[in-house]
Amino acid sequence: MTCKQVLLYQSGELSAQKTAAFKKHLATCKNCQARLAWANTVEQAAATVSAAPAHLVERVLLKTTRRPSVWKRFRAVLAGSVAMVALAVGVGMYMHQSPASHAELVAYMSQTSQDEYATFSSDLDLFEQIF
Amino acid sequence: MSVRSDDELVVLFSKGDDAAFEELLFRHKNGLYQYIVSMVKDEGAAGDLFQEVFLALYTHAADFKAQGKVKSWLFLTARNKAFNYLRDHKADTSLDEQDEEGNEFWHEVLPDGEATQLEQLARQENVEQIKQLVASLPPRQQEVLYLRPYFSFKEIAEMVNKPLGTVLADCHRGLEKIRKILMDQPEVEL
Repeated sequence: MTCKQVLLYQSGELSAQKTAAFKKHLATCKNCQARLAWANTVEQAAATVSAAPAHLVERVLLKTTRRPSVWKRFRAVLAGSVAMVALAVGVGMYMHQSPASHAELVAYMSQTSQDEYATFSSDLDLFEQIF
Repeated sequence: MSVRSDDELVVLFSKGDDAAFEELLFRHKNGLYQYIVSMVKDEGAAGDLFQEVFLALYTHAADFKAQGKVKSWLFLTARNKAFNYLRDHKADTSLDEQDEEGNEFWHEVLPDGEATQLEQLARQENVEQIKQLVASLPPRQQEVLYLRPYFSFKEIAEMVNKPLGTVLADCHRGLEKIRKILMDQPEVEL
């Protein structure tokens, strides 16, 4: 018997005939018993792996199965743009309006932005349903 | 519910089933990550290579001919990427260094009393200590010991493109080195 056979026996790669012969030998050979036990112990230790970091797995998911679709990314950009336009309109109106209080302006801008976003959002939903 | 094979999962996600890809990722992530870390010795680089391997699988799913080799493909791709990384970042990328013990390693019979000592050592299960010692072995021996829980010796031989006898010899040398270090340590009670 050789060390080679201990390793092949341990990994289940001996033929049926050689496995039977090795088992018979193993029953009486202290040397092979010790080597087999040692090979098992080291293999188990090597198999005790630390988990891959969660952020790494998340990174893979975000680049594959959970990647935001082009439409979703486009929609987010579009929504941001609409909010900016609404803000600009609000500021423009403020500049041309004679004396209005700060509170009135904020209330006006807030309402305008919400209305415009609500309209835009429902348009997008309709668009998504259609396409 | 029966566990789906790697091949089945590849077929499913190549048809658009993202959950199948995620199942494959979660199935192999830990072993693959540790293997890459053991190769490049740098967790940041290992993370990037890990990501590249799964992105490659995801991107080429439709062309992938699984045939029971998904796990081998993942590890082999990781191995190639690790070699490329080492080639670009370190001077020595060869795992084929001369073994310092030469070829005289087949000590068939352990010296008197060492068989009993070895059995006792095996029973102690110093997992953390053994893991550290595996990590300190020469690259070739280390690689075989890291791959062994996932592949047969024959599969490892195919993967690393070495004769089966060489792979077995590397494994044996690694086991012997760890044994000798632990047996020589006075704090290990035998």
